[in-house]
Amino acid sequence: MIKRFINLLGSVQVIVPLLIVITFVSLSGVIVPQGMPVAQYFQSMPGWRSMVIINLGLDHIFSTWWFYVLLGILAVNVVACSLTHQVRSLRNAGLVRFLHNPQDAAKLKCSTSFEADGDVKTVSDTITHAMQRRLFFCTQKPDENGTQIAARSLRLKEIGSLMFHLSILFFYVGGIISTMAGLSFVKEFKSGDVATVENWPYRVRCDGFKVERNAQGDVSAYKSTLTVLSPDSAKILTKVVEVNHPLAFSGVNFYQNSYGEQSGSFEVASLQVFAPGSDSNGYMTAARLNSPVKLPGDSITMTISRFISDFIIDMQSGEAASRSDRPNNPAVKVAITKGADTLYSGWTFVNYPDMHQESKKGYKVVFVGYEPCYYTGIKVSRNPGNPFIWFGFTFMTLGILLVFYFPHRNYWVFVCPGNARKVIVTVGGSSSRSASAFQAEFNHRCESLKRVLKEGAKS
Amino acid sequence: MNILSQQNIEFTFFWWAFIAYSASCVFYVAYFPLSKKWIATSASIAMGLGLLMQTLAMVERTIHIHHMPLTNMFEYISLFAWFATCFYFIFMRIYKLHLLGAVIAFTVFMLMVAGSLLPKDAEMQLVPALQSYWLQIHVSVASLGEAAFLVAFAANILYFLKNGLSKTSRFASRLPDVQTLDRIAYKAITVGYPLFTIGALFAGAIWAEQAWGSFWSWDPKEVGSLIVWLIYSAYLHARFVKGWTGTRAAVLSATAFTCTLLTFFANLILGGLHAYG
Repeated sequence: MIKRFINLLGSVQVIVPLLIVITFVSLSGVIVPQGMPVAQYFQSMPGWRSMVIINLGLDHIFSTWWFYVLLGILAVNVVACSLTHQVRSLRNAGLVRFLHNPQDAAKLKCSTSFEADGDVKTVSDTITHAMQRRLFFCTQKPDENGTQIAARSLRLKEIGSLMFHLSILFFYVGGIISTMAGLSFVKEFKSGDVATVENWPYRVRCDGFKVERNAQGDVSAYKSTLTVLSPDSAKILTKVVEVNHPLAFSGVNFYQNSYGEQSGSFEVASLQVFAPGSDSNGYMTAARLNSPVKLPGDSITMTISRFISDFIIDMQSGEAASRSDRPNNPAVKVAITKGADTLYSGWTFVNYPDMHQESKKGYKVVFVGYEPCYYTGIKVSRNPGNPFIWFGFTFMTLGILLVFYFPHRNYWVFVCPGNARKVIVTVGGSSSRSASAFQAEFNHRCESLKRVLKEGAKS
Repeated sequence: MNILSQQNIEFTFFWWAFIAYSASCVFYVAYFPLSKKWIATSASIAMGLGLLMQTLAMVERTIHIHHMPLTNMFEYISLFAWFATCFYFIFMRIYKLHLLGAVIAFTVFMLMVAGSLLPKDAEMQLVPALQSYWLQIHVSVASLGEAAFLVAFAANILYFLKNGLSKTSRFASRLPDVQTLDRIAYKAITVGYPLFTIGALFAGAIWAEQAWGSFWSWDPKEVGSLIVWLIYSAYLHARFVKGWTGTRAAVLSATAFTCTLLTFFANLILGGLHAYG
């Protein structure tokens, strides 16, 4: 009963419909946008369609329990198939099959017959050795009519098929281990930030991030400099992490994942200052946050005291605030002072260069632009199941190659007594390759046997 | 030589290739009723000229952009058509079936039509995610596998024609027997399946792990490729274990190739991690 159940689980009647079901489920995961907010489904697909999507979990299909169940059934099928069909075919492959008589060999699509000098025993042994040298497993079966030699090639196809099935299990095991014991998250680093990783004795510090551009202004690289620190804060190694060039250290990998502008900060701002009595274009100056800059004139300094990336006035408090972290409406608060005397103080905006305050002392400042201060998004991941995935890749690749490109070849050679110290050799062959493809190899093998027998007879 | 004139030379080669492939189709259309060997030979010569022109276009583009042209849909479809034409010559040499060649030539021509409608702007600066030697391995091997699937699809088309037409039909009598067509489709799949598995799935997964930190992300293109792989796996499994040949096998194989095309064009609609151009 159990054996029948295992046979059924591992049968093609289960695997083909199962593959079709998984295909359709995966297809729905491609068609239905994944991971959107629920409200967005109702907005874009009003009515019963969005209800079906949400209730069946089609919005996150690849992490639904029933998709895991389908994958689980597939895994069980692969195990059952490996235990039944694969092991059986491997065992059967080791069995020696003999034909009844030379006529059976002659009926095969690839067959030939020729005479050779010598007695049955000598010729049979010569043929056996010649075939063994070509890595064929040979078994002799003498009887009253002569000797039959069954020669079979290495059963690489069966081994390949078993490896293919095992590789799927390796993928499963790797995936399960990584899901259960691994970790994956994105950490946003500002320059100087230090982060810890769960169950990892080291810490990692970001020493900087830059976006490199080519002459045309297109992004050519994102580079984060990361330093691994020991538990006592000693520097262990420093690496510039780029997309495709992660930092791997002691089982944890750090990938360049994303970047963005830091809210409330910038590297350097460009400002156009109009002083009383200066020409109509004013003069350009650069300033950093909270770093006073000397302006022309006696003890006149300019300081940017605040930066807001998406400026609004909060209606309740009446204070300046940021609506979001996005640089939708960048603004800086600038003050120009001379000793204790404030010559200018006010907000100025990149998007609205004409909207600025003009002080009673005749100063005016326009916020021309700024070089943003970026944070870098580093994906931190630990995948203890990865070695299994690599085994899976290797097994499946080898398995496919063995299945497709190393076909079976079986030869049956009958050596029967002929006239005057001659024997009649009848050779029949079969292969899992097509007859036409095998015919060339068969002819070559037979010619080679004839040559070996001729040389053996001379010596 | 400035960039614009280099691009003009490349497009000139592309359009000459387009014309050569369309000429090949015209010859094959004439070959159907007339069945003259010289017409089929002319079609093959036109395919050869098309291949040469397309090779020159791709080399010119590579010189122009300083990296292999594998980053957008136009470049991929050009490579796909180029590999399919290479397979055309390989299978024509082995099987010498002009009608199979005709179907491949038509499919290549359709790919060129699709390519001609896509934006052809060259990406001079590769985005950081694509700056990896895995780009060449992943894209070219996957494309080579899909080109082999195209040959199987061409054999499937002829199979359906042979089965669908009356046995007394003159055209049906000129088609190869169904066993030969079934065997050609199978042979092409045995070439394409390992290439697709290694190129599209494994190389892609290894690259994804290196670039994004996970082998698999359930991205639409990844899922599409998995679907294609599952259908071809079902085809091979059914063939090995249950001895499926003939119509059922041809339907599975043709479905898989249709999914291959859908997966390719899905980028235009679904976006995702593979939407580079």
